[in-house]
Amino acid sequence: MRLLFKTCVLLTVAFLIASTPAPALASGAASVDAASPSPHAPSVAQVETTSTPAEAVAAKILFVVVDTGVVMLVLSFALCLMRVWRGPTLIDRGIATDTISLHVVGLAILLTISLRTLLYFDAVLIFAILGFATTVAFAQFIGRRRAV
Amino acid sequence: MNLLDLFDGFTMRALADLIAAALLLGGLLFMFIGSIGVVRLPDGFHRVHAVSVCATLGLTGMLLGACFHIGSIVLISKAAMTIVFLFVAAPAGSHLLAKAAHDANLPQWGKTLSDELAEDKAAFGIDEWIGTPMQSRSQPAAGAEESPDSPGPKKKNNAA
Repeated sequence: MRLLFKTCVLLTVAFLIASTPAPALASGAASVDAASPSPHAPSVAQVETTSTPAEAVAAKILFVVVDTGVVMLVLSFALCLMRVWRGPTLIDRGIATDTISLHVVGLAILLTISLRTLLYFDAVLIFAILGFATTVAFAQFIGRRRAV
Repeated sequence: MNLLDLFDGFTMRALADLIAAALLLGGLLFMFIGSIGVVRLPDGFHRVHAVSVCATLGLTGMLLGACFHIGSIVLISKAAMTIVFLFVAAPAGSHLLAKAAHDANLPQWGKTLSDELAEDKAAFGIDEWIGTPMQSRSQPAAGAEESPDSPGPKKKNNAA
């Protein structure tokens, strides 16, 4: 039973890792040249046709930071997953899943910056509220159970 | 509009992108530090601190970076709402988790210096009082001190 639960968690998170940062990486590389607007980015009309060299350098620095950040967030995601895997008690698993929800919020922010749309920014607040609700429900469950 | 005349074409937009990159890097660093804390700290009560680092400093830095990069008023208002919500919700969630862990007698780290909540529970008989539902909290609070093993207030949580 526990092995089944752990396998389900691993499969879900592997799917998340496989699906989430891929468009950020692909379009981050695509939108470095700001002259050609990507088809995903029409909602914020800030794509400038004329960009000075300083702006190009700054945009390149920003996108390097964003791509590094996706890798960094996935790494710390994996660290939290390790705590979910071998957390000795239920409390540790709850704390680690809370941190994982915060990391999903961070990935949504990186997606917003990289695609330059407001489409995915609504997910930020929703994920934050969902993570808080999950933590409260988990704490209620443990408090009713009176055992870790 | 040229803000600085460092070289030609250093506009507001380049400056905003550089500030966004710096804020984003800081936020990512705090997220990473928080998850290292979740793995490395010795105790459930210690690990709650690491979650708060992620929620407040890390996500605030990343949201401010997004604000500087895309300067529209829609995103700034939503980001401000998210920051306010996180600053309210993250301590509340951490406190709930820590309180539930203490009620469930989570084993503590060997080098923990003091546990005043356990002393209070032992002194005032709060342990009877924790699991009772909110409506009936007013009357058995007085009775719990005199007769600690009365079967009255603690029926529901043991059944669960």
